[in-house]
Amino acid sequence: MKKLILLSLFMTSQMAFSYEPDWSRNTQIKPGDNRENIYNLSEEEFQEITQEGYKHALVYPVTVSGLFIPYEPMVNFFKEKDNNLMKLILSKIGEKTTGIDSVESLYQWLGLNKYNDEDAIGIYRIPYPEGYKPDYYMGASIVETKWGKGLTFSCATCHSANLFGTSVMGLTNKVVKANRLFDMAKKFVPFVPPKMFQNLTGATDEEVEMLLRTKQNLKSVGVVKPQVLGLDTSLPQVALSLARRGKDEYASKSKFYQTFPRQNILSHEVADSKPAVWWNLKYKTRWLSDGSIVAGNPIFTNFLWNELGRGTDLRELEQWMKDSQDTIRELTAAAFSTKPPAWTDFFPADSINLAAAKRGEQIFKNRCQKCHGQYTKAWSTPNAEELSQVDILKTVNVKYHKVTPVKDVGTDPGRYEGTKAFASALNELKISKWMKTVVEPQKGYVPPPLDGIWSRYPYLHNNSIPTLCDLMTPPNKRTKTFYQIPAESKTEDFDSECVGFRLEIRFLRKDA
Amino acid sequence: MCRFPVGNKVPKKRRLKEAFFNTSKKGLRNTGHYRRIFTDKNGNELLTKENKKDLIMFLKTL
Repeated sequence: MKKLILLSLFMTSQMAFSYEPDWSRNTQIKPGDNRENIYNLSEEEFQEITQEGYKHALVYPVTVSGLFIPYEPMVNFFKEKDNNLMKLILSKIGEKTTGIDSVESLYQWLGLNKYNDEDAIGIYRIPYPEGYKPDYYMGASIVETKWGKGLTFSCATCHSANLFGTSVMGLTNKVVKANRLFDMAKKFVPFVPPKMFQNLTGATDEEVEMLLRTKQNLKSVGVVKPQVLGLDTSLPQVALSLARRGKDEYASKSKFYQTFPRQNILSHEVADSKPAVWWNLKYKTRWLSDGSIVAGNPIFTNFLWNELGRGTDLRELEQWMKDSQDTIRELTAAAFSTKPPAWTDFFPADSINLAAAKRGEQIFKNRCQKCHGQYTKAWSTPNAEELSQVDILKTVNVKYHKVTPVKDVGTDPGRYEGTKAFASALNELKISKWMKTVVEPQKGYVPPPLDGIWSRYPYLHNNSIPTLCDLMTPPNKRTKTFYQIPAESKTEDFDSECVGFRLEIRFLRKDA
Repeated sequence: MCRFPVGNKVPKKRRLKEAFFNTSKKGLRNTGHYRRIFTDKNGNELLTKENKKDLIMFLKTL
């Protein structure tokens, strides 16, 4: 039966991907259109393929990835936590401060989210990789490798989030610590003695080999701790990892550069940014917060960046990409198909004052639409009077730009300036040329489409603005410091008037 | 009406060092996205606080 399903899926893939999207820098999107169905699939194919793509987003598909944690030994490791070696390692990773003393606590520390229950509907019905609700968290990937089961982390680690108790695919994880995990690994993995590791965890010879491979690959990884929880340092990690490799077209491993990495400004300049939401992909023709990827499928680029940051051999990666075209297309189809959470999925429709929203729409048209796009609301459609209280609030069409713009509106330049530190090295790679990915530094950031903007706080590329109220406050009067907290409770963690973290903002106070 | 906890009113369990956001730090600045958006070219405010509340109400529906 399983073989039949696999055969059917294989045939669907072969038929489905007859259309290849235009990933060139010349591509344009007709205003009012979008690329939600990026491969022009039939409805049936679209459902099937995006479900498979979601699974690749949840369980990392790159089997040649550079860093795997031997899974079974890790489980045994935590069982043996009273052992002297374990105590030493746990002290290295700072158990007291991290609270990591089990596999589950590792997932929680990392900021991973639980799979939604079986009764979830709509965009919240996230497929289970094995067909039943997993006991691990979204993003945790236990991969069958030739060395045994290896633990790694997938796209969903950063690109899924807990929103008041519900996991949302494609939403930026507000509390992810992926880059901190790399930092931690660099600090303690090199000191794990293989023999003792094997004796204490019961690792097989192959699992020891996996550990040794991870240790070796970590030498080609340069890490930077994010400035604040919720920010990502993948960009400097790519730049600093490239600086630890050879200058050839495959950025081959180099003992010399591992010991003496080339100078790179991102070892000290801050270029942190938050991972982007996925549902904006469908409107865009260039990628990343600064729009610096001007050509190429962003999912390919994502894999390349991930793997440079994991010390992977680029020849092996290139071969994996060539052999895994359907996997990449499925994941691409899924990412482009994601949709934002609606306010009314979490709050009653009558919490929206329709008259005020309509007035706000006019202000938006005058002040925001030129950059952020035009949103046609259901309340403006001919049959609006027949619509329910929920449906009347929906957006029925978005007109974004033909070509994704980049604007400099005076926000912090660190992130876009950071791209200069590695763009040319990245473009020179043979794998970049094969993927047709081109990175070009920009001056400014993409004014993003605003679908689901209420859930995307804190705002700006660097998370520096905690609420929409703050965004509409003169910069010198904005909140100077705040805490980046998870979105666990609608009432405790969220200000539904100002939209964002709960802060004191003057213009919504009656006495202001 | 002061409804929102601020500064040291943030619950202790949320006051983690790693979660503390200081906008005066390089790379974390909260500048921009204001002039010529919410003001005219001379810096005069274009929106009243009621306008801003309405705009937020609209943004909630996107």
